[in-house]
Amino acid sequence: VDLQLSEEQEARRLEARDWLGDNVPAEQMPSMDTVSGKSAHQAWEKRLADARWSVVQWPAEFGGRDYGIVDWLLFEEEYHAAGAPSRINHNGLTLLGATLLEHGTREQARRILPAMVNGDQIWAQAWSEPGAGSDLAGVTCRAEPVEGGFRLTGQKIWSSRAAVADRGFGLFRSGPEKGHRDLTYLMFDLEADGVEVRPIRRIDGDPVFAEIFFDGLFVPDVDVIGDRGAGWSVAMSTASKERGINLRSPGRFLAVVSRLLELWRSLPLGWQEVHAERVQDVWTRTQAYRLQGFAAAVDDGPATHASIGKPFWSELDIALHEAGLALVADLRAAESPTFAPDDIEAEESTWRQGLLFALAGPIYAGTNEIQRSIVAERLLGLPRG
Amino acid sequence: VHFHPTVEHEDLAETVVKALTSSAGSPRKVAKQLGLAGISVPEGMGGLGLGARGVISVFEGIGYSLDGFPWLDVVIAAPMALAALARSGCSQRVTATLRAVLGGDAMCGFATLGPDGRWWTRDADLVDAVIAVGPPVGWVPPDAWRRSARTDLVGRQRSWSAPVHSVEPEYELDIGDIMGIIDVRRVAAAAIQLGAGRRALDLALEHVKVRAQFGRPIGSFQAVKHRLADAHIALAMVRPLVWGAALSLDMREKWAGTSAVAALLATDEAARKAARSALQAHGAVGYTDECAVGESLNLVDVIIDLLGPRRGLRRELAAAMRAGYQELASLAIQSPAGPA
Repeated sequence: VDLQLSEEQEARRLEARDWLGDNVPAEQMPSMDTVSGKSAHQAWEKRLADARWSVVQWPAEFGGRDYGIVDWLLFEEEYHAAGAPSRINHNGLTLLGATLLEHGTREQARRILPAMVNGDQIWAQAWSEPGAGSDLAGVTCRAEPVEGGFRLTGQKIWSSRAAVADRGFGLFRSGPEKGHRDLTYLMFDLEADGVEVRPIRRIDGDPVFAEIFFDGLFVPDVDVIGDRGAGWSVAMSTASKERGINLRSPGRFLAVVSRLLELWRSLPLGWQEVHAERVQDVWTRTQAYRLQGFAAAVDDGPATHASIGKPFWSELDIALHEAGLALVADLRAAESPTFAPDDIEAEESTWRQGLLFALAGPIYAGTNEIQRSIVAERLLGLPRG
Repeated sequence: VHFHPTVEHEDLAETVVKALTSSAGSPRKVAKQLGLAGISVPEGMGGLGLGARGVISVFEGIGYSLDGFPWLDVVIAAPMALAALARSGCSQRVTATLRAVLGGDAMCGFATLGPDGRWWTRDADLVDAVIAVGPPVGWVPPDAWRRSARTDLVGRQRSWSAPVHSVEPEYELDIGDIMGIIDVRRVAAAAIQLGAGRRALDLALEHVKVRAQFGRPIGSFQAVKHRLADAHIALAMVRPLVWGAALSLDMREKWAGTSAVAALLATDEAARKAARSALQAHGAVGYTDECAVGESLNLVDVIIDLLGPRRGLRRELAAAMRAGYQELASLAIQSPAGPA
């Protein structure tokens, strides 16, 4: 019961560090939401999977290493510290993959997971609809029961990765009831007849998400996860994974704050003082998130509820990148000898892209407003209203 | 890796809350009954030797009770200073006072040097003696103290100062001992803030579930909910910092002192946020002296200032981040020098 790592944990951490040091590409990859970016990221996923680093927390049977949460947190720290690429199948692995391991049949796990782990098949999540965002139980996209399966009709939107993905997963209404009942969780093709994907461009023009139109796409029974009509509870087990440390591991923010501290130290002393309080603040918040991650490894109770962490990390992410941009601006003004003008420009663009990405954080995976209501009602016992 | 209080820690906090909130318990009685003065004195010297994690459990309970007695001085700083003096060789007076303090028969206050070069302490009128730790180290006699005009938020004058030369010298303490006292005091102060913030939030939750406007409890309104949810999130997220710092102190980790400073600054902010939210949630009744919200506001307002200027804490943290930024990025998983 202490902060010390066991020899095994230390050894695993170093093994990851060594491998990442030898294998992480020096050049930044093109965006994973473009065609060339997709294949580069798929190649990286293959490399990770071949060395069994893709899903360390999964059972060995599915390409994992049976790591516990602490080992996984440490692996994530190493992964981000090494500057390794973002994971193109992140949604597939953390949402669908984890759900299949928990609720899927063995046949489904054996059929779906290997191609997901090695990056051959890229997955898009399809929760939101034009009329169902925060109110996810308002889904109206239909899965009409037919011989041997379902036919899908209707529209999904804000589907991350759909512009480049091969398959998708989400909730569909399979009966007459409204709300949480008669929802079925299923997987579908994105390239078959009866489905059309229309990319949506983010404010910088990158097609990071898409609309999906269904016009009679057939889904066989074997692609239903859990029982027909019981998709809500299956999806909710996924939702908590989507919001918690699994979605944004502390290692990701530790890597950012380390870079931030380096920038800060590169400023002349007098300039450092101007930013000191802000840098301390985001550093402390990052440590808090990290320690909360370790606390969650021990006790997965109300204190580490995903709805507490989600607003915290998403607002921290914005604060980190705003602080980074403020430091970069002063590094330029101070004509710091540590940074050549070209370096500063590259640095600035990295932080600005990071900020752009961070700005979506309070919106996706259940808006921070929804999370605060969950905290108030479910953890603090305040009346619904 | 363990950041949660054990059952024993929770029981300890609960016992403290019960003792302090029952009407029968004066501070002296409670201190004697629970042996509070011994919690950070080693077992070999007649104390309980609870370690920093035990200390923060007790102090979270003290904070939750909203008890404004100078517990940081009489339970942490003075007994630790007396024990350190007793270890390094000292006068008869030190050993006698330490024995009386541990037995619950005397209370010893604690003074430090202010930026103005005078000794400062709190509630000099409530304790039997005051040990001053500068350097120099020694006793400040009762008649040397002058009540300061400084008031806390609710108008009480509890600060006292004395000229530096009034001290009756003892043996010196080495810097390691002094830093040890400062670190534990800081993490205990952070625990007070945690407890006081949690109490403020609990008061607010009770109120908004009952108080009705527009025909329904005000706790059903989203503006109220989100503000209290924010207070809860803030408190929940600083708690691991306090536990992490206490654990680092117990493990004698290299950056333990830095963790304590960071935890104190962060809990101070979270507790203030919780107390202000509690005031707002109560409306006008929270602004009266009949409501405990006022005590929570006062307590969270005063704690950090007891430990010196906030600027000093910020400076210490900045210096550590400049010196050890690479190690600090992965704070709390450094290999420790060895368990305490």
